[in-house]
Amino acid sequence: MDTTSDFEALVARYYALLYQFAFGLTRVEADACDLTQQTFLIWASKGHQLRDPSKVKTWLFTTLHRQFLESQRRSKRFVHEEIGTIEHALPTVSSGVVERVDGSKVLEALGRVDPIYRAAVSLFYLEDWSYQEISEILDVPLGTVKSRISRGVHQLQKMLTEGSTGGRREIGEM
Amino acid sequence: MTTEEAKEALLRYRPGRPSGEDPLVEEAKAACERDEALRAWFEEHCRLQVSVRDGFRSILPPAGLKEQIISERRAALYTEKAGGWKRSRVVQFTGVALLTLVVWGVMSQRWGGGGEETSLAGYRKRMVGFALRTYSMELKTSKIEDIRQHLARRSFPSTFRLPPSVLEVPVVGCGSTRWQDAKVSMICFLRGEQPLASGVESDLWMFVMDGPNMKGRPRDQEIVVEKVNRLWTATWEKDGKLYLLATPGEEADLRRWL
Repeated sequence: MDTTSDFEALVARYYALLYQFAFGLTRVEADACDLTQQTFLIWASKGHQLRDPSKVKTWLFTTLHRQFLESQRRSKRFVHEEIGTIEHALPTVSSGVVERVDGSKVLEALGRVDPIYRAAVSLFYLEDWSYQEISEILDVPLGTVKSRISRGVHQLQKMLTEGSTGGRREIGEM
Repeated sequence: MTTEEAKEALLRYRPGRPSGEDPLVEEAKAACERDEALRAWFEEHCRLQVSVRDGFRSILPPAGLKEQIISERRAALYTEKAGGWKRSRVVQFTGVALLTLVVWGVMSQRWGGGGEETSLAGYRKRMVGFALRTYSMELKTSKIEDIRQHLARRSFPSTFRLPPSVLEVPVVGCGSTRWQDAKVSMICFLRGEQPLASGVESDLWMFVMDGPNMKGRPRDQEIVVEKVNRLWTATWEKDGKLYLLATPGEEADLRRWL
């Protein structure tokens, strides 16, 4: 980064998007703040090494994701699960579910999506990233991105659907 | 392509975005034209996709995050510059003086400068916003000891003392946030006297922060009661900690717990 004002403009442009991605991964505000801040700190020291300015956004998201994985390894809470096949039938989506979906329900459901799918699903919904871009950010092959999105979205929808049909307790009932 | 295969491919369809990069999605969309049941499923799926996408995008960063990132970068830059000026004693002294001025400026802006954001009023506003905004509890439990252990593990305030009346309210979980670099614990209770809106999990919140030297903070033995947004709040200091209790309803609803 050349100047302080460039850095500040970069922060202003991307901090909210990065925070959304971080919150989707961690679901904890404080951790999401830390990840976002850490990402810009790394940019401040290493960003000048990036030669293609059009890749800044991808670089930031990639860095944040790596930081997240690193923090998960440190805490040893990240369970790396094998990608299985979709075992159950696809959920039936009723219109009532759609009307009742809000941010808290989405986050609640996302928190129960297998961790290995969570990042791909977050990127899929948060920004209009192409599969290629998601593949670069997560550093996984294109085919893996597609399967993670399919399975992650399937899990997410299943949870939202089950939540609406009495399969589990509704938050609003508490 | 079977119906199930088409549905699996359509899970990757994003309304409003060209799906040309995924031939299977295109093929599945074409299948919808021939299969009425599949088309109905796809239409509902699209509505859900839009709704979920909007849910994701409704996540808002906490107030002050951008400013915090920028101010820490500025502080780091000043430190780097100060490090490069060590050749001359005079310059070194100047650097230290400048750094002191910067630190003083930042501190006074944060704690004493009088901007609402750094005062008790700003703190109350932030915490009420946090409670009313879509938040997710980090831990859902009915045991206060579990909450203390969880917060202690994350180095958030955990040795708080709750008023006896509050302890009688069922605890449902906890969360955490930050304010001006300070860690704030949030303990969530459920009075359960009124039906809650969808997505709301508690109706009485206690925020605990290690007491900062903020403008407008309660004096010794003082309880400051204020309505902020649609919550009534009570704030007090005890044993070096700042407590903030918030609940919807009338002022009398709040005073029952003090």
